[in-house]
Amino acid sequence: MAVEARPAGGRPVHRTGLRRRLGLHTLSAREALFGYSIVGVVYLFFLIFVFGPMFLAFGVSLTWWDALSPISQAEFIGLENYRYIFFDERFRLSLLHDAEYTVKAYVGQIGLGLLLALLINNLRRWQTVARIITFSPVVLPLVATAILFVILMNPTWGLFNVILRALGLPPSTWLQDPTTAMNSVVLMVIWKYVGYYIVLFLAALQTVPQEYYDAAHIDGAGPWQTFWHITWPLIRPAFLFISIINIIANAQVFTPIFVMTGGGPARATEVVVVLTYNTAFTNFQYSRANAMAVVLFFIILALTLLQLRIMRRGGVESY
Amino acid sequence: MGLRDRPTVSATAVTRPRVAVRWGQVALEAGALVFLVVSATVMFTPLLWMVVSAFKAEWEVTAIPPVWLPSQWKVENFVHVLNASPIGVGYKNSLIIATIVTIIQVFTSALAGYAFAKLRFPGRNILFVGVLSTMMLPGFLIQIPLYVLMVNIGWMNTYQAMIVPFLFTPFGIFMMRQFMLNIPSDYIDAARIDGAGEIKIIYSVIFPLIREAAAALAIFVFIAHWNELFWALLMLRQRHMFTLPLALFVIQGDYGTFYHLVLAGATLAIIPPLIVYALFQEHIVRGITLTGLKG
Repeated sequence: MAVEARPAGGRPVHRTGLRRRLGLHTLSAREALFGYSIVGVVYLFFLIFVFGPMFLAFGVSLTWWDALSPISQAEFIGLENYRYIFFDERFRLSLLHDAEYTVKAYVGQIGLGLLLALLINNLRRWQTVARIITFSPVVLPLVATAILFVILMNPTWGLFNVILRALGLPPSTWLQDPTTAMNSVVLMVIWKYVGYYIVLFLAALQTVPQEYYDAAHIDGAGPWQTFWHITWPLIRPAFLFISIINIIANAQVFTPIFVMTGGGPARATEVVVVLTYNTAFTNFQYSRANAMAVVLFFIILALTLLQLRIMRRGGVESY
Repeated sequence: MGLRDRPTVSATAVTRPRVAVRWGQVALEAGALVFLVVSATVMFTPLLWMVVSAFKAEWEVTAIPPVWLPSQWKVENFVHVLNASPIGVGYKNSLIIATIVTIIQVFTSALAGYAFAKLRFPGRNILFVGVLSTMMLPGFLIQIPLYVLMVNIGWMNTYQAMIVPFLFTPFGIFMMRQFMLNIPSDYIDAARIDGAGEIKIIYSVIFPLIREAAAALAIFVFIAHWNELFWALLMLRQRHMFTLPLALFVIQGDYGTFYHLVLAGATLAIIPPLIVYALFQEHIVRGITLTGLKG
């Protein structure tokens, strides 16, 4: 950064020298002051609305408190809330449902997203049209979409079973049965969000130079070989980044489940954030809910760090 | 393909490759069209069914065998939902909240993004990492304790509870910073040497250059707050304060089997985001790729 500008004369002008000559040293002090005042406001805001609540969550999780009485009545009970949820069958099941949802949604959104992106990337024309079509559900309000799917999935007269019967296939129980409820919710979120992942993968695929594909084609490589030897190594960093944001988003799922099943039937779809919400605001075990939130946070953090480690081992330094 | 074949085949060989290529193209084109038709069917059938069913009479939604088109297109479904349910009020509240949050957040993100991208001061990068790290904190971990703060300052059932906690977001700051890194510092230095104040630089140099990123961010923020349910569930308990997602969630329970009315409400809810998408789909896609892949 020492040599910033090289005027026509060819003599390099050092930035510090230039600044001193123009009296910029006072300007740079002013610039720094301005920078600190903006950043100061940002940090003050985050202190009140992010870090403060976060420490409150940790603190409250060590007490017994219903959030209805004044906070002075919160009773310190140490790690009792954590001990309780560690042995709590309902919390354990909610973790399993969370894992089930996250894995299924991951496979559907990432797998189908990548597959469709590869297909669309190979279209000669219509690429924009295909992207516009598949992306449109992404912008729909989630609650409206969830309610629509509840109606479409009605086992008696819902459109989905009408279509299945018309195709000669057996109708499904959809959201009404513990064995099919989770898959039904996952089907909705795949439908809604696959377009988002298509856009991300398309952006990654378009960074692969066309010449590489041409060279592979001349060498007689088939589509499978081309993918594994050319496309995959080049989109790997993007793929891992997309994986992380997908898992972070899905592990804290709330709205689709809360609206479509409320955690039922028979708690078969009760994921951690839904259980946390019910614990805090239906059962008024507010401090215990905070302990659940803290545990889920550390699980998500661990998953993220694990993926980052895998990335580094893969020699990806750019993220 | 022995050597002796050559003279005899030569006449057809001239045309055959061209025909083969043309057939290949036709097959590819047909495949592409099939793919487009299938994906359009899968993506749009539920939406089409929803919009049409929103005009049906109550029994027509649940009829077996299905009634595809309403015998009479009942516009009064929408009138009823807007007047007699929280949907109308939710519409107004969501518009107010999403618009205010969008305007303020784009402004604050641009300001903070500018500070982190272009202003030189010691500790800038480490302070930015601090902001970035808050992106890792999931909403539920913050919002469940924030509920207590809001209750204690008496902000339950207020607009400010839905607006103030979102005035700054790490995502917005990150997005604007990434975009501003591409603006040459020379522009800013030149303005400074000309004696422009910091505020003037932001207004006359920075803002005109970041319109595209600001538009993309505005769309994201608007859609996110148009859809927000969790925080609204925590904060808004009185019907006159309900946002649209909350109103939709509540009428699903209230209306029970009046599915035509629920569908009319859902149809009303999807209109604003679909308009935004139709107008700005290029911005949305560019914005996603900007933030999604230029980490």
